[in-house]
Amino acid sequence: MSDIQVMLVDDEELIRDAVSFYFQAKGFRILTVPGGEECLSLLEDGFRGVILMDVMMPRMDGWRTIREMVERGLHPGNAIVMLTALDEPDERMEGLQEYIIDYMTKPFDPQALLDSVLYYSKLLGSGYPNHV
Amino acid sequence: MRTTHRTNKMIALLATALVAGLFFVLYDDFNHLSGVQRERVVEKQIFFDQMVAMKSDPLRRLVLDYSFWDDMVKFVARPDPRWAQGNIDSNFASYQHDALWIFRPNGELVYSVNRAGKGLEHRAPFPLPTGNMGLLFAAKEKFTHFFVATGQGVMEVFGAGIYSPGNVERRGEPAGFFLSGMLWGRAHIGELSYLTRGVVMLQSPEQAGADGEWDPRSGEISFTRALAGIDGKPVKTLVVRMETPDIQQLAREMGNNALIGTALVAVLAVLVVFVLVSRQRLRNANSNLDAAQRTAQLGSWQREVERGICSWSDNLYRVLGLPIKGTVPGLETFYSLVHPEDLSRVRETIERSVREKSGYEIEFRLVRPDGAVRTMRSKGEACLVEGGNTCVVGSTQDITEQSLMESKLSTLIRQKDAFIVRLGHDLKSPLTPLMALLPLVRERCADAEAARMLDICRTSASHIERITAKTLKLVRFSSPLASADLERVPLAAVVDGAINRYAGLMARESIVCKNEISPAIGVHAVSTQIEELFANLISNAVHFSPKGSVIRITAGEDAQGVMASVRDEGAGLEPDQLENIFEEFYKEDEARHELGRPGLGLTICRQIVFNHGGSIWAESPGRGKGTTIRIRLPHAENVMNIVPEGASTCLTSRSCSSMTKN
Repeated sequence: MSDIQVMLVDDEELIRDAVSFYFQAKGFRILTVPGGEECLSLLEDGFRGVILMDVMMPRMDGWRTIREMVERGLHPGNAIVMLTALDEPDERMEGLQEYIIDYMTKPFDPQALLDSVLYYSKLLGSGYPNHV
Repeated sequence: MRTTHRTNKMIALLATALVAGLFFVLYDDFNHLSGVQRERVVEKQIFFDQMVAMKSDPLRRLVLDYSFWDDMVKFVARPDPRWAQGNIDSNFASYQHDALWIFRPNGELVYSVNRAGKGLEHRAPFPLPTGNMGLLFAAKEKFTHFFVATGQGVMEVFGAGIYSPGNVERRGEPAGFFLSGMLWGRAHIGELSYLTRGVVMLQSPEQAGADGEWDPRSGEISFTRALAGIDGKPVKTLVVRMETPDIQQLAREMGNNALIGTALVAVLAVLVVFVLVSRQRLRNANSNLDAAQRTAQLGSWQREVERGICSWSDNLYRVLGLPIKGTVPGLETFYSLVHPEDLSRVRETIERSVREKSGYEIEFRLVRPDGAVRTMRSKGEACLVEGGNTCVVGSTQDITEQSLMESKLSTLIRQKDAFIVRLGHDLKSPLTPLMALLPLVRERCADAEAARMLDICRTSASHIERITAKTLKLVRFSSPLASADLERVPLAAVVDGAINRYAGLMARESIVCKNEISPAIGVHAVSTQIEELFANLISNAVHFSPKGSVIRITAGEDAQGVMASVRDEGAGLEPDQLENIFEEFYKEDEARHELGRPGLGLTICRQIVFNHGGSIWAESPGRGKGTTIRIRLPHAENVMNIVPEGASTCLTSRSCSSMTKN
């Protein structure tokens, strides 16, 4: 696990802090960034791992960030889990489904989130995603 | 509609003919009667005149029939001293010497009356001309007493009166007046003769009174003549009534005719009143209809296709913005107003309806002559009428304001939904850290009381989360389904998925949920919604079921669709709760204080079922006896609430009015 990194992209500071607290309390490290631009620059810097991506963010939302990521070829080696307060997928995700590994609605159960992250980390460790 | 006045004319003609006929009949009757009456009056007049003449000339008649006078006798005592008068009446008959007048040659009259055997004598001077005592005497035959005239100027008269001494000079020749009641002309001294019982003085006939009059009521002709004495003063009035049987018959006939005529006129009057009242009612009904149409901004019309005859209600002209006068109602007039962009669609719809003899409903824009563009809704029904012709009947309503309102309402509902979604999102985001951190804090909390408080906080946060989630779901499911979203959903598999959501909970409660649906059964639906539907029903059933009980899910299929049911052995429902449980936030009393159940689950179920054109209802034998929720989902072709591909969403599909049991 230690070599698999986890990044939370969310404009809500409270959520970033809360998830950080929880992960740290459970002995895991998590990077948090407030927006798509920061996420992309971390990816440019070589981040690979599980990305927990909020959908609704100012300036650059989750979908645009993923689109950008794909366009820049930064997506391989990452597992993207979408976090949203909305109940259902929206039309903006059209064409991006294949880059998304999971979809979690807020408010999520922190343990379930952690379990997912661990699960996808293992997947990544075993060669996921294989479509790229 | 425009009406003719044919009925009016008929009634007027009939009334005129009847009244005219009646008038002629009565006029003829009247003329005939008048003629006969005139004849009779003349006849009777002659008779009467003869009678009067006869009574005025007793001397002529007395010889023939004395009794003729009996009815005329009336003596009146006169105070005039120049007259001596004896009243001859019934008393007279019982006395032999009832009265005695003695005229003396010196002009003295000795008047003696003997009443009841008591002699009275009266003397008075009487200017009786001397030497002319060819006096009169008479006695009715029943009198035993005879009268004797002395010829010396003394007359003894028994039972008679002397009225006009002047007449003695003209004895035997009545000249206008006379000593009535006495046999004049036979008054020779020493002769005896009869005297009638009475004396009447009459004037000459030519001074008589009115002619005969006909009394229409009794049918009699009456003649009246004032009879005067010699002095010209009235003595009595002679009234003679004579019956006229033929006139009476005629009068009866005339009365009958008049009666029949009156009855006919009455019948006609009743008829006229009836027609007038009916017409008034019709006018009122038309007026009410027009008022109703004005209020509804609706006009009605009717068209006979083959004959090309159109009739429009008054308000249709107003709705179309056309003047009532001068507009020819017709399909072309109507087409000329339809918005050019909608014209071909409208034309096609109407022509198809005529061709297929079917109904139609269409909304379109209409450009009024003043340039105003209005939205209209036209409904029509074409049908065959007698003779194989086609008649189209329908209405056209101005729904501009209505559609504007609907559009506004639709916007408002969208805004409301957007607001709820936004609110849900805004609630969910801050809930995330709360939900994430509360368990952590709880884990680190050593103080048992603080830990309990944190549990409460966590439960409350969960509750907020659930309400938010359910509300968002309800909003999401409120959107009508698009036909493209529908697919054949294998019911048993979807129900299995829903059961699995609560597998852990059911295991803890030792509740068994049996999915007894045949794998062959499928519904034409949106899979996620059907799973949500059964998940909600199972959640409810589990919640109200006692430990160790069984929940059964079954389904059957027929020509109309699929009927599924979820039956539990739980708390059951009272009859009055059966309808209410589907209402938003409804909770039966026992669950009322349960924060964990927002009361939206069955509302979501109802919405989902409605989306699929089905119905849902609850059945329960009573409290504590379990509940069965039944769902009917129609087959694809029977689904009414699905928006066809490419169509705009319809506001009314939000309504859940078809949710009733059927």
